[in-house]
Amino acid sequence: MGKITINVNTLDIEVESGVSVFEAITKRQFPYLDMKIPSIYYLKGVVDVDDSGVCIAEVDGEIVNASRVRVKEGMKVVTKSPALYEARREALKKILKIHNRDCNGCVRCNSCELQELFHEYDFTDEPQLPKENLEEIDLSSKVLVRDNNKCIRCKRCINVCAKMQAVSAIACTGEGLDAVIAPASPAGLAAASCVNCGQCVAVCPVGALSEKDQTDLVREALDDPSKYVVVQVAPAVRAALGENFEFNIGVDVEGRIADALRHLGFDKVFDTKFGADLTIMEEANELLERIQNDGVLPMITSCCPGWIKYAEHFYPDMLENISTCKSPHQMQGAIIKSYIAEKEGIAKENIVTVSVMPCTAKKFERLRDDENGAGVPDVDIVITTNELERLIKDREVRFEAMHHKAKFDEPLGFGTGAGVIFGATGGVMEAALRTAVEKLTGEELENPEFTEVRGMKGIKEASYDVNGTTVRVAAVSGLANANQLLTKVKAGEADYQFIEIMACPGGCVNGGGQPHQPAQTRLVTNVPAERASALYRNDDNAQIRKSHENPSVQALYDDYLGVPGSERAHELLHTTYRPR
Amino acid sequence: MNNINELGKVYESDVLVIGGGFAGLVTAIKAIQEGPDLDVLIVEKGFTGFSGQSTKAGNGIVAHLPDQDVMESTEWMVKNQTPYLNDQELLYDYLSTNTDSVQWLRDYAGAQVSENPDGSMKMWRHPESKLAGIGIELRTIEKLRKTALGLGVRMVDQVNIFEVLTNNGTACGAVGFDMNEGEFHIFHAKAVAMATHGCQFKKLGREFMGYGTGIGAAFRAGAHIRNIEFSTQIEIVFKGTNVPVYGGYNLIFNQEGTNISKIYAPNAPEISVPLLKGMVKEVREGRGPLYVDLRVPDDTLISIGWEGMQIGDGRLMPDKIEWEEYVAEKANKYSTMEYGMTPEITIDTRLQAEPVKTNHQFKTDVEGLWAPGKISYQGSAYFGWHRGDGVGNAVQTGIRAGKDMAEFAKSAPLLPMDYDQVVKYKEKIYAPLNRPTNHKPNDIFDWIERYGFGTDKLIVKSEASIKEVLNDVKEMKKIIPELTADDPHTLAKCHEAADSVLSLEMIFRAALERKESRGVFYPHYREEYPERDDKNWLKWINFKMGEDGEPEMYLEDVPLWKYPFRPDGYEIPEGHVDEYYGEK
Repeated sequence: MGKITINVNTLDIEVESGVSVFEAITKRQFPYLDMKIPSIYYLKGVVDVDDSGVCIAEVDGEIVNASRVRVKEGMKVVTKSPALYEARREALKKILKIHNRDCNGCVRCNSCELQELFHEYDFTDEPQLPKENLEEIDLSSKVLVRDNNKCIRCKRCINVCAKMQAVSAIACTGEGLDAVIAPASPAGLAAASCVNCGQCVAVCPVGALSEKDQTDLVREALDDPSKYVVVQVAPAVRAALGENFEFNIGVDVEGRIADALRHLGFDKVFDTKFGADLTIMEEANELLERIQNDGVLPMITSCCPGWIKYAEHFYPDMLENISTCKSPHQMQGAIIKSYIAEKEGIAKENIVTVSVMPCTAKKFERLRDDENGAGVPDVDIVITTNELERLIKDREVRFEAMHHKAKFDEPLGFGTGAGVIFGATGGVMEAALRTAVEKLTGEELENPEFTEVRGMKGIKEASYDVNGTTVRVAAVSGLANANQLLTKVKAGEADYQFIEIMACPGGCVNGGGQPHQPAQTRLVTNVPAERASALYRNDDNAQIRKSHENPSVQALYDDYLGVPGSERAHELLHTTYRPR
Repeated sequence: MNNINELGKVYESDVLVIGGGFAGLVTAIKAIQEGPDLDVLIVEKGFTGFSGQSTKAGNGIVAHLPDQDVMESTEWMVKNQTPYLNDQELLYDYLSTNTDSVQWLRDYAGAQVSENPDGSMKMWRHPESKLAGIGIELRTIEKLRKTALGLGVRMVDQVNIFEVLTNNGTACGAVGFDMNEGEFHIFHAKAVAMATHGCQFKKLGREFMGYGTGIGAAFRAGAHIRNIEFSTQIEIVFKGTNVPVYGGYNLIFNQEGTNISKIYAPNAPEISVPLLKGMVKEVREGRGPLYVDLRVPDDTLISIGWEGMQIGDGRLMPDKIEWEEYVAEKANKYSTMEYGMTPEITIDTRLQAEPVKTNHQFKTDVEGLWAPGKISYQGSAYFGWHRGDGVGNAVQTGIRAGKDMAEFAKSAPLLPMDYDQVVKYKEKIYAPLNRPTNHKPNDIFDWIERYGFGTDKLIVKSEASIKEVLNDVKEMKKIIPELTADDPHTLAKCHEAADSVLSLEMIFRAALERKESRGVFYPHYREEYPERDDKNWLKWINFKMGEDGEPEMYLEDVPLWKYPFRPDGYEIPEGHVDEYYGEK
């Protein structure tokens, strides 16, 4: 795209051509000049035009919607004037009339995009909505909470659910601020075909959609002296939690998390990286078995509970293709309640396993059938990255003062570089290839990196020549992309042996439980890519980068499980699926 | 065995940086860059990255244009700032690396500085000195905080430090308390940096930037103090504000419409003692109030900033511009004259003690204790001050100290803390709590502000006026053991009051000793001795803690025999030979 010159606030600046005035100016970023057009509905790739009435500017003397007007050479733009201030304030007033300003009790307080504008445009004492006018909060889902009283009708959730996830669990009728936004089923979100991926939470500018907060359960467990509370942390959490404490995007806070969890009082602090390595052992074994014994192919990964529920709803005929492996944290939970319980001599009933996940769907996953390998639930509580932030702040642990090189507890605190990249799209695939290729060839890989499956593209395909056979793989993120790929597979237009599917665009780093970044930051910075790069750096710095070389995993098999795919491994680490 | 953990919350680290302002952050970042395996911790009484002087001032950083000769600049500084009292070696070193340090700031902290179209740094030559200026974004410090966090620096905010712990004279930690809860905190480290700012009193607006607790703690740990008599800072400001009349020093008029700058300071476009003396005289003789006439042609506004620098060009900061608009409004409000280009002005007197003596790596006389940032500006004696280079000073001193500390911490052992010392300090720190007396720490600050800030005491000192202050100090010191507090903030104030008085005492004892006048921007001026006396006073006045805990003064010859620039008629004192072998 070419460059053109426009005049903004009397200054000539060069901007990208072919985009809207809003995008051009926001992307250009003038950290030291007051050149900013506010927005509240707009979100790159989700809602492309902002009709809220705040995203306006004076173009050649006229007030226009800056997200609907394209830049033209020589155009004169004013972003700040008394008239614009008044017009934006009026628009915000209308939005505030339908938004219940319960900031103190809202989980999005401080990460709310409306609150930000509210302060910027000098609102001080707008009253809360009267109690009698409030609608009932939708608590039907086991995972998500929807408070229509806070909804500002931006339609980001509707677009993300329909366009990027191909689920459409939430729908809209009507226009503008009078639009009615509601779950596809009148009985609430739970009754709709919602897969709990939480992308609606991730895009919501306010607190209308949020995860069901379960930090109180964690606090209860921590305060109960009879409970042995064990926590594990998913790979993607370390690439994002820092953002909630004002760290730069893409800073790896692995050590600080381990230290903070210890300060919170957990009895054992484990890393789901270990579970990820264990998953690879089982999954690579399953893949090799399927390839060698003419099993059902392509085999599709099963780490993502959003994808699993999606498949149960929309691809019931392909459930055979999905690996029977549990997801990493469920596997780890089962191992904690069997192996660790025996090792430490603690009754499994007294162990509380807490998973810190970037994901909302994990809250649903732990309740599925066949997720209790040791006879008790593998995982007792799932909290998201954002809930961990709340827990840390609530317990007044100084996150900034934590050691950045603190280590997780042995033995389930050690994971390899292969385990950590699970958090990015293509990561499970790459980790599996590192192990599967070595097993197939019997030779050590010179370079453990499979860069073809890296990156933020929705569908990535690659084929590798292993011992003369061609292994064709695909890594997909975003359920609409999965839909597209699986339609092709079913039609026989594509042929793969192994497919990785992650429900959230970009993988777990962009999960529904991850920190919120304002839309304007997301326009300028590719947030999931930055977070993924932190994981790849972590992998790069790891001493051991292949799951099967993890000494703790090897010890687990030697001491307890036998070999991958053994009877005990099946009992503890594998699950079943059913059509919904 | 006595367990220190029972006395308070203990934090252990390799490098401890006290103060999360610009200098503290740079020190921490540099230390962890030099030693990625080191555990670096910042403790700050406010919020790291949102504290310190740089958040309140500055729009430029001093640099050297490539065509400028560092030796010439050194000479200019030596002759024109605080003549011949510099550590010339350090000054030369400082000047030769200051542009590099700005580059460091750009590379590692993502600092936004003024740029040429090709992306190189844009510099403006100062019309008067040999230096250049670079515009710098005020919010750089927030970026530094994020850089530090990303590198793994640990931060403990809202804990105020009052004492440095020592083990046989080597620093090994610090103690203080949480400003919210009052909980005692103990920091245990191999190397400690005092990046706390010095002690600053301002009369107008009663703004305190530092209370001297860093100076006090370093002093009690054994650090020496140097050049503290040069703590007076003078400024002419728009009435009712703290904002200097940059560029208006040669345009001061009295009510008769006479340009008094031309009468009292005909050749100096900068601020000077004779000009201030003249201003006081004019007002006393009934020709006030004074004003700056900004209507005179542009070419006389020579010190308004850097040559050729314009708003929106090199001046990066929207905040600064907004602030200036606010100032213009305020100046109007307080002015008795027609608004516009003739705002009323007044003298702002400040004490700014930054006297902790350091070596070239900004290490104090105490092993294991460094003092980067403003706290050591006079004490390090490089005296290469150019107005508006607070940020530059923070970066330069922080880089040197951080590097040196990392080297030290890599090989030094973690010395054990002295249990009895921790107990002693804890008792001392909490002593004012619920004392059955009724002296509040603000009594001390009121006293200092009300009686300590006459122009006769701060600008044109005389033996009588100095003795008056020292007498006040004696009286205040009687009150200090009776100060009482019942919350953490007042408790902190009690110690701040005590340390402010300590600084005040040393400033005026040194001022009494120095029987001459010297210095421009940080002048020492004695009415009885208005001339510079190079025969007797090419000396540094130093303090250290005596056995009774009180400051003990000693004098030291400035080692000019080692330096290139010496005043006319200088004779190498007996027992020394000419040790300068470079070019002159």
